[in-house]
Amino acid sequence: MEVLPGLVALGIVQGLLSALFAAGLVVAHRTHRFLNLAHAGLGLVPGALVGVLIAQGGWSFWIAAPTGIVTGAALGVVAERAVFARLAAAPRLILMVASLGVAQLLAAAQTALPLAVGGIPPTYAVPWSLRIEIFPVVLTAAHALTLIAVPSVLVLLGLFLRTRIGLGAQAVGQNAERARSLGVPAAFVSSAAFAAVGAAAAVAGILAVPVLGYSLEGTPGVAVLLLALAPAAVAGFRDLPLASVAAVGLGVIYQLVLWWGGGARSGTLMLAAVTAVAVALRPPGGDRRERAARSSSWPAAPPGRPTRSPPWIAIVVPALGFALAGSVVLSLGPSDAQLVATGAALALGALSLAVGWALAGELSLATWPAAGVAVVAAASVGGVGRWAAIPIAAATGAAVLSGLGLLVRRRGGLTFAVASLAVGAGLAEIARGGAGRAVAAGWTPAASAIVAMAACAAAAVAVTLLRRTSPGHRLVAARDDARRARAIGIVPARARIVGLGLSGALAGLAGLTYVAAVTIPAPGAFGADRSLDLLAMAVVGGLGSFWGAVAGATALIAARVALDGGWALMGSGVGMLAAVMFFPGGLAAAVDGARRAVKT
Amino acid sequence: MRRHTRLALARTNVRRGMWWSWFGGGLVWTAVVESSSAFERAWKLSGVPVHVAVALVALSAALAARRAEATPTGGVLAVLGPLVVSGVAPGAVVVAIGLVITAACGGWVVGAVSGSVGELSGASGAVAVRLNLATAVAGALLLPISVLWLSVVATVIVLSGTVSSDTAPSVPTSREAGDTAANRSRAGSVLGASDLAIGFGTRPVLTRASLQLTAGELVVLVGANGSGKSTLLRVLGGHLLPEHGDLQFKGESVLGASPEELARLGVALASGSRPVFPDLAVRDNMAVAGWALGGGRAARQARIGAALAEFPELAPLPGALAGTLSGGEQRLLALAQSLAARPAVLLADEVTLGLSPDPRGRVLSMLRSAADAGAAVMVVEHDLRDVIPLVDRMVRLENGVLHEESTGDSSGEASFIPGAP
Repeated sequence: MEVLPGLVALGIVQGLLSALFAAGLVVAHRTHRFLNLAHAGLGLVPGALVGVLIAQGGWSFWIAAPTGIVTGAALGVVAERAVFARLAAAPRLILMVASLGVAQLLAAAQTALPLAVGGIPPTYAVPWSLRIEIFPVVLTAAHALTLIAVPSVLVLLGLFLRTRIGLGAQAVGQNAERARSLGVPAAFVSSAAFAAVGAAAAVAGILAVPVLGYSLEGTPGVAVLLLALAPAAVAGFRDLPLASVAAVGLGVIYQLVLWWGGGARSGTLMLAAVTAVAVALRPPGGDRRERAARSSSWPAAPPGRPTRSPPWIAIVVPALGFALAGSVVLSLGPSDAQLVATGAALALGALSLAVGWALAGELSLATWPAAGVAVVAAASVGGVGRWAAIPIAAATGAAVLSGLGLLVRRRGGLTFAVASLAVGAGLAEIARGGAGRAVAAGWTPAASAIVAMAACAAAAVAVTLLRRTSPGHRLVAARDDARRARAIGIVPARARIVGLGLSGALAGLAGLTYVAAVTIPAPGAFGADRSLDLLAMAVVGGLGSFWGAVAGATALIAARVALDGGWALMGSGVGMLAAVMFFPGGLAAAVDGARRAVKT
Repeated sequence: MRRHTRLALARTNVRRGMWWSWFGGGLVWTAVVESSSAFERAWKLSGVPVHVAVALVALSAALAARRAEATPTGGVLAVLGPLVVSGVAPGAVVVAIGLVITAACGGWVVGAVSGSVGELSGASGAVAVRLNLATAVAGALLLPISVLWLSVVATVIVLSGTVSSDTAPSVPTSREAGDTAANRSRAGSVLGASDLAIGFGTRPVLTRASLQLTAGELVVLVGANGSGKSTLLRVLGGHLLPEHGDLQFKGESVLGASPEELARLGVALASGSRPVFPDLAVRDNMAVAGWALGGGRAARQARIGAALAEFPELAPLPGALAGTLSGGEQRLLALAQSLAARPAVLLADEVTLGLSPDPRGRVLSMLRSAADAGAAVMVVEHDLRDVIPLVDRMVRLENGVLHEESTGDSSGEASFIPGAP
């Protein structure tokens, strides 16, 4: 137990850094009503810049650090003006995906910055001669500066929200038309809010380098993401003090688990469990208060798309498309066929996510890890043949996502999405290194590709037809208006679980086809961050459309394949931004618009 | 028409046809850039002059777009795209990124210029949209020969005069509210609208609506459901830009002014639907209203406090989240916000909806008091029974045109009772 004080001290310092990220998420949500996945990037780029200025330029820390903070504020303003303001009237989910694109651009910038000026990792220390040993931790000036600076910045952020500009920004986020009617300069206050968010992120990013070390990966790991997301979710993305305290508490617990639990795997599992339990047990604030906290003049996500074409078209057209694609696949070499198989499996994953949204009204970011768990389950039941694995994987996937729906049954929207990301991180640890190969052994790449494409096409046809049936209508009714659905005898909670189960079953199939395609999945193949990829695919295609999800997956995967490795991140970010900015309704909406224009 | 008015119209028409112009413009722009690269290869010139030439062309187009107030950022970015594509930084990925920038931002520039040219030449909004469509078709068909695109644009512009006169809304023959108001008291007009036209998709909502609001009068606006009452108020409040017509505040054109600019001038719009900021406390909702107030902080707080004191229902709830209030309380809060600014023009859209008789009567009295204090007040109401005695005049919106209506005309009154056709 003699290590406890040292671990607690370290946990507090790291928790404070997470608190700053969490606070930034809360402020961005209160002023713009979306989950800003680019927030970490807004801090990591200034961190790299400060390192370059010190390591390469010989600047003093005390000059470089303010420069980095100003850069962070400027990055925030640029991101807000160039991307988020242009999507001001779009559903908030589109902004979240756009922030994913911005995050990829920032990650590319963070990686490229040190490489562009010599390739030396931009590490630096805070120039104070301070060293305090609390076994097993050595606290330096950077830790001390964190203890002083972060609480100050948190207080400043809280005060900012109480200022005229802060209140104006929150008003614009909740009801832009009304705010402008009252004379609030929407562009100015929104930019000011993002300047504050960017500056706060920069403080965290600059302090993170000497405290945690410099990472060349560019994107924060799932654990880092969860350490910020989980407290923000616990605080309902609105309560700044609660988010800060929760972040510090979680930071301390994380350090203790890392020490006694045997490493990062235990830490991630703990974060997943704590987040899920905290979100599940958090007392709801009453219907009206919950609605008030969630509401804004913007829709949360694109609406479901009505079906227009007759049923036979929904079968014949995909069948023809599948026949055409299948004949092309047969002429491909093994590596290209494997690429097609992987793409089709990911498209099925994106479809699974879209089904969860369209039929259950929830965004499950545990979709891909659930696919991994399904594969492990199918493989671990001894002696299953190839075809027997299918129902096992589907049933496991369905059970996992339905169970998640039951666990977080009183939460919806963004809170559910974050909880599912946390649970997904835990599931990914379970799926890591799963014996997927046993399930898929013996398939040629072409066979894997055709099976994956067939599964994807059949699943899309099936859910398209299901939505036209009476049970499908009941699911959609429960999703769209739970109160009215209850009035006509539908049990919304049950419908939600069924919708999530259906989504999970498709995820299980996606996992199976993925393993068949890659043969030996990498250890992190079913990571929770992949679910964010699937979300981007579904949104780029048009989240309300099943075929849109497949098209979005195809487009994004093709774009990534076309770009070579070093540029993939930047190309992917630019592509994603271009897609959501110019086609906020997704490819499906663009096709619809073109069809309507031709008709008229 | 004033310059900024024309530009504002051009901007909205560019936005309306944005997708088509973006698509076609991107193709045209890419063709221009491609031909510059071909030029470079054919003549074996050093890259620099070609890059400078492309940059100058792009910069000119960007400035044109900037002048049209369309997309300044897109215009600046449009300069970068051709530079990247034409080989300043080689590499397939960089070229791909450049093409994205080029197609996207160049498309905006071409679209902005074509839309602006169409509008400034006197074409109607519909013609500007067709011009954008023509840009798209031309871009798709004539990709390598961009000069032909210019000829298409020129042809459409030449034809636009004819089409414009064909598509102009017909002039109503009945007595219109704007004319009457003009005859009565144009000199005292605070807010004036003339020949406003706007539609959604193919459905026209306002065709030629004219109106004069004078200081100290309370006007009730009536009309059937879907007749465009809320749309008219949103146009007057600056939230929607009309396709045609002008908007004047104290004799100066304010068409194209943003809602916040109009609010600071003294035009307040209070709407019955989504009236407040649900996740802010009542006191914070009132603080937001302070943006439209002049003076120092103490003066603003005094005025906000005075406005809030007029509503005893809200007095005990300063810390309550506005979203937790009842619908009626939310509308009272919205009215308190709007009255705090002591506006010169108050546009109230069904602010009494859902109020019980007592608060409803009090709200109507407040609106009357605001008018008596010198404000021009326009209210939209369906239930006219207790409104008629308070108002100075009644205006009816029908088929997109405003008509003056006698407040003593019982037949007119009856036709706007809820439930009546």
